[in-house]
Amino acid sequence: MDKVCVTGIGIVSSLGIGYQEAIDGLSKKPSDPVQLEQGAWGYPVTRTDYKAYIPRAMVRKMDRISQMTTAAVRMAMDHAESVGRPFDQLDDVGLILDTGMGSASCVSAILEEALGSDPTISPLLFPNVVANAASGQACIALGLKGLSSTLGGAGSLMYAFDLLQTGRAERIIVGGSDELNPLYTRGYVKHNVIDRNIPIGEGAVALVLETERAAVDRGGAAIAYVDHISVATDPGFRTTGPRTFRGGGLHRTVSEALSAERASSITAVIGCANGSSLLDRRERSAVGIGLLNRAELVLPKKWTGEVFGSGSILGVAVASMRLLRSSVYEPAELEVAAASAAVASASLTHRAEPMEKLLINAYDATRGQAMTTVIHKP
Amino acid sequence: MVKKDAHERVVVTGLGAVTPISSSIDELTRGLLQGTKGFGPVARFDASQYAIDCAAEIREPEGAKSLEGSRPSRLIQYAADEAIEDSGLSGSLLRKRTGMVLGTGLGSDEINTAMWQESTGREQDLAAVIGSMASCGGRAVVDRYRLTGPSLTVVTACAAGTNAAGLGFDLIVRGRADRVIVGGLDTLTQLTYGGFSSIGALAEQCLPFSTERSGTVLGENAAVLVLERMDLAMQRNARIYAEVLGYGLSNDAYHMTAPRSDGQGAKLSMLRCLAHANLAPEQVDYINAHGTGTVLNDEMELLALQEVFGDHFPRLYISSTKSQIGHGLSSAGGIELIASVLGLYHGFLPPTAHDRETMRANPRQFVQGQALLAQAEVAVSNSFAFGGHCASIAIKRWERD
Repeated sequence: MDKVCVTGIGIVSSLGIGYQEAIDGLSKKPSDPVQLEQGAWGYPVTRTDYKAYIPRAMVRKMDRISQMTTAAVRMAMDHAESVGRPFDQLDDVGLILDTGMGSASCVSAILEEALGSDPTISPLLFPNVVANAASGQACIALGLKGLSSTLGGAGSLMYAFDLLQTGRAERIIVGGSDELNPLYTRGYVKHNVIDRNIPIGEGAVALVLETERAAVDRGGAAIAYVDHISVATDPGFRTTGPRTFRGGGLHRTVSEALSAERASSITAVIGCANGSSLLDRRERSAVGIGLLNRAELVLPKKWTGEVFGSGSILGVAVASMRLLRSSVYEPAELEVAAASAAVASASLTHRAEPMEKLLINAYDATRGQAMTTVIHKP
Repeated sequence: MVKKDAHERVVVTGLGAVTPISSSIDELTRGLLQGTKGFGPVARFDASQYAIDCAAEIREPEGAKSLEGSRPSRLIQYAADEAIEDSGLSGSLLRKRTGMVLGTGLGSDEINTAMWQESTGREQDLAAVIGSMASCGGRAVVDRYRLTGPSLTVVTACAAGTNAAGLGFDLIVRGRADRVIVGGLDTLTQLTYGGFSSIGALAEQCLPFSTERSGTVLGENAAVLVLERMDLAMQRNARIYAEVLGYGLSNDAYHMTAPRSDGQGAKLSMLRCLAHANLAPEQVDYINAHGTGTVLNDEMELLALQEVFGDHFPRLYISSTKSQIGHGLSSAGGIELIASVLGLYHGFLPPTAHDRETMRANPRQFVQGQALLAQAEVAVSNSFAFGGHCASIAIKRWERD
């Protein structure tokens, strides 16, 4: 089996544009979420300077989520190619993307047309309505012709990891993107799925994954190695259901990860907690007080809000950024990160020594899909 | 072919489908053999406002109407019920280490309409919001059978069903699941119909590979296959329909709706499929083509096939199931894989159901009119999508080693 490493990070987020801004953002106390138009609270991406990463002729053909995605992918490629030789064969570079809602704003606009008094749909708008529009636009803009796919929710990391480990590809960019949209937000607010304690967010995150051999061949540098990914499903899980969710999926994925790794080697947990008492409680239970007591805990969604389809990649990106600059998180900030209702009681302690292995959780609430990833420092 | 261990091999042990010409696999088999077509004026909404008023629509089976959820959700559960019963799996054998990978698209009219009504200030059911997410169909099956393996949703538009089957194959080969329920789901919506109309892609007839082709006809399907690790299927004496050999993906990185005229994306996905399946081009007998009936796709696809298969191209049989059931978008790959599996299992080649002049003046190669009773050993099914996503999957007639 080939080893798989992360060699580039790209991010368009309320944390910042690019990994360096994101690292800086993570070193600061999370800002308060802003009140959104629909009565929700969240972290919208308000800047537009990420468009500088997209070929000028392509920008106007893309909707916003495609723009954010393409920019994140370009940034990740630039980051990976900043060390060693550039990728010599884009025909073999793939892109696998996660998205929860796809081009939600484009779907909204088209529904206005399709179901309104005038059923004429814009031929310019329509192509962006498919859920794979963002990855398609990114492939077109950047010339990527490798193994490409789009998954609804979390899963792209596992998919790419398996393809790389088994020698099906040498280089795949994985990403996640979603955007805030009034249709979804209104529904969630109305039915109390989200509230002041569960802010929501948006953005795009991308990671260049390469086999170790491919990275070494071009003189590239690994930021992190991916050791393990486990996935499981909770049948019957309902975002809106009774609060009897047992969270067995996360228990299984964390247990599998910890049986594959020496639990004692896990020095930090990047959690998927988003402020939902239901999910946060289950994650704490799955990780276990023992590990929480000795590992550092980082909760990226304290900075970004619940980012839906980009959540799993965001977690691994944050872990990778941590390895990139392990001094970024000061203990004081970690206490802030841990202040979620779910983990506040977990009496965290913080270690000063360098990180070794990081355990990253993701949970796709639309499908009850749990995923746990372990990465380590090169 | 390189011999793999039985635990690395994947077979098809169950099939289920609802299509515009059938509400069971037996009915579908008969329809494929006879070249039955499922086209007519659009019934689900008023399409008189569009230039074309023609689609291939499902008549929802009575048994599906009693299931919970939106129409797409009910249809996929109905198809999954048939496939799972067909596989003989039940109880803990089914629940444990069984995953679900569904290729799907935009949801349903009920959901879209509810969302839009909300946007205009009317009441909205939260089920519409949740249900409009692409994962709703797969989740309905996961919940119904209490599946605990990986549950994934592929949303690569018209390549989604084929991509989903490939991903399910990977999950088994990588040991992440012993069985994976895979398939494709998409239903006709005014949103997609209006969109395809706006880009001028619709026609009154679906005539793949005909010199008279002028566009596609939209359809809808719920298609489900049970994939299973070969050794486990053999241990329980399951009926095995076919073996999945491998698949390929690519992006042609050219245009959101139009394929590259040189067929490079299609060529890459087929070459990667053959490489993954350890197949030489001359080992392939039959291509279930993407074959939409649009001017650009069919020209591009034939060009790509000629380049990939070279001297073997004239000996390939090529047909498009869309000539019978229209273009089911995200469900197309799933139902066309089922058509290919049924052809290998029963010894026939599904037809291109029209009698018009064909592009390469070799009607026999396109299996025109009705199915051809012939035993193919290896078939490849192609799916190409908006966004440039391409997927190809290879299957082999089952015979015990």
